[in-house]
Amino acid sequence: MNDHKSRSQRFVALCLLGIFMFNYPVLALFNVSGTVFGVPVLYLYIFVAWAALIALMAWVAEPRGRDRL
Amino acid sequence: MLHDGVIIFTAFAYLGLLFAIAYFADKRADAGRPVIASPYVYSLSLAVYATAWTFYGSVGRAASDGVGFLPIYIGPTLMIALWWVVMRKILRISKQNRITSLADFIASRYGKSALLGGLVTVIAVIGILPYISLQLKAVSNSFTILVQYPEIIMPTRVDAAPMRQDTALWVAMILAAFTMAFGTRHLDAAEHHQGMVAAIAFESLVKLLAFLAVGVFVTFGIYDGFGDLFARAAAEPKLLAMMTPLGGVAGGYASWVWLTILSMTAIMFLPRQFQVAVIENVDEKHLSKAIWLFPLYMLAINVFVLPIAFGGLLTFGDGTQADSFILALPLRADAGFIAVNSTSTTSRPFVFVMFRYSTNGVTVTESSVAAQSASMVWSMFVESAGNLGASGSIQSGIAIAHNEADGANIHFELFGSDGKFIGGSSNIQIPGRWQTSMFLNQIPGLPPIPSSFRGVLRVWSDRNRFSRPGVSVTGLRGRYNERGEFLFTSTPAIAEVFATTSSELLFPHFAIGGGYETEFVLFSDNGSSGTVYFFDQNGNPLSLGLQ
Repeated sequence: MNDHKSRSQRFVALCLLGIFMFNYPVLALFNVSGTVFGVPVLYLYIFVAWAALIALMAWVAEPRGRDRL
Repeated sequence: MLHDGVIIFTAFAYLGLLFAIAYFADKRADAGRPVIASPYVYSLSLAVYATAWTFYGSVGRAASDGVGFLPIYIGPTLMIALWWVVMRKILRISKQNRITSLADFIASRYGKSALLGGLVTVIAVIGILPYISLQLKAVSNSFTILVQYPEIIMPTRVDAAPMRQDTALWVAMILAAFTMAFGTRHLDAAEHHQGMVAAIAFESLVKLLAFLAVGVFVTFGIYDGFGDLFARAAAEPKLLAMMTPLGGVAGGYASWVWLTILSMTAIMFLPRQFQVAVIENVDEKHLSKAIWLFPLYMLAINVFVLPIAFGGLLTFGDGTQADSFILALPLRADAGFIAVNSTSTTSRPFVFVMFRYSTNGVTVTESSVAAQSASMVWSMFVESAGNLGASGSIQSGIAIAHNEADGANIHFELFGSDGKFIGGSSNIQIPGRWQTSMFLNQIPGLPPIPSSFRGVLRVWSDRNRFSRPGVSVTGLRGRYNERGEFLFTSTPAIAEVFATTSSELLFPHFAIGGGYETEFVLFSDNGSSGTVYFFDQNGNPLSLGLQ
């Protein structure tokens, strides 16, 4: 089950990515005043990054094509 | 606004629906067609993580430190990324060993130690107690807010409604009945609690929809979208600071990180989380959907938390009741004043407004407010009888509007019916373009009003600066009738000293929403033109649905 192993690795990588994105110093980059599309920068960043992380998790989790469970 | 009966009926109808869903799911399971054998139901049931307190706690926290509440939901997202590795293992071990609870799981990992299992159980029970009480408080609070809310459009709500019976007790008993019927009734520990899980999944759906509905209403109904809401919030220095809270009000990055770690463990080790994620899991394959659907759920339920918090802070001014913004905001009503500027001073139009109040679709009271020129000194008859809220109770109120760009000082004096001076307030600074309405017993600085009182209230504005046009005042008088309905009428306030002539007429009070409706009447005998302005209590122009 080589596929399972690589999927596990991808998930661990996503977790690390998430920890990186939602932590100092990356958060500090966005902890600035000002708005983008009328939404405060930090608020927008957190939700966009969060949504992106979830999208990646969905991409890795969902069985696609040949590599079904 | 809503009658107790309606609220209680709705609550019971909802509980009845949950019971019905659970019963139906149990029956389906017995018939061999389980409803919970779906990755979507599994994902929704995981959302038991967001409890009744989420509605209050998240908004309450957001109202004090902006995004500081988000780690509670981001932490689990990070942990769930590891579920593919961790949770599958836990699921397999639990299935093999027919694990029935978190305590059971931990005990079996350490050589089936009964002592350890007992210890974990005791810790879980003690740890869960404050949690449960918080949930019950959330439910009983909701009930109180719904029952009491905006009968009276006055800035500080009078705690008038008599102490209700303890709702929390009844809720606890109903929940216990539910647990017995759909939880502990099954003797076979390995069997899934299909009915309970189905009910939880349904509830999660309701929670999400309710949160989104309020969020959309606040963001796009009360305000003009995210941009408008955040722009208004940014105008207030305190709220602006909350937009970049890290390193500031939220207690820095350390508390952010700790909250993340805490929440990462919570999603794994909260007993209820273990129950739905592990014990009630029917198929390991459901993980691949739940791994992204559940984080998506958490994201969706949080999108509007900050807008609701900001909307609440903008509307109610401070965060003292921030926990209940999510209920209070949709129920709130607009109040303010109206200014009519006529182009000529000789032919002013005749104008007055009528406002009415309805509860449960029945109009119970209607009254008119006449337009007033501003004046320096006003006096009006006031009365107070009984505790407002009790049947037959009466309380006079006052509405004051000030339509000058500059602020002013006002102060109040109270006289008994015999003309004797009872007490006065010190100078109260009011900002320019401002309106307030309050009951007699809410006027700051006045001596306590006896429960039975008749007398005269006098309002002075800037008495040392007679060149100023002053304020406009009208009396309001509220009464609870024998059916417990709130009736009001406007009472005249007499201007003692007229200010310099101004073509401007002010309506010191109007109210819209929360059962209130205001009708604006304007007529003239010889034709005149002018402008009508609507202001909220802070003097900001109000955009209203005019008909």
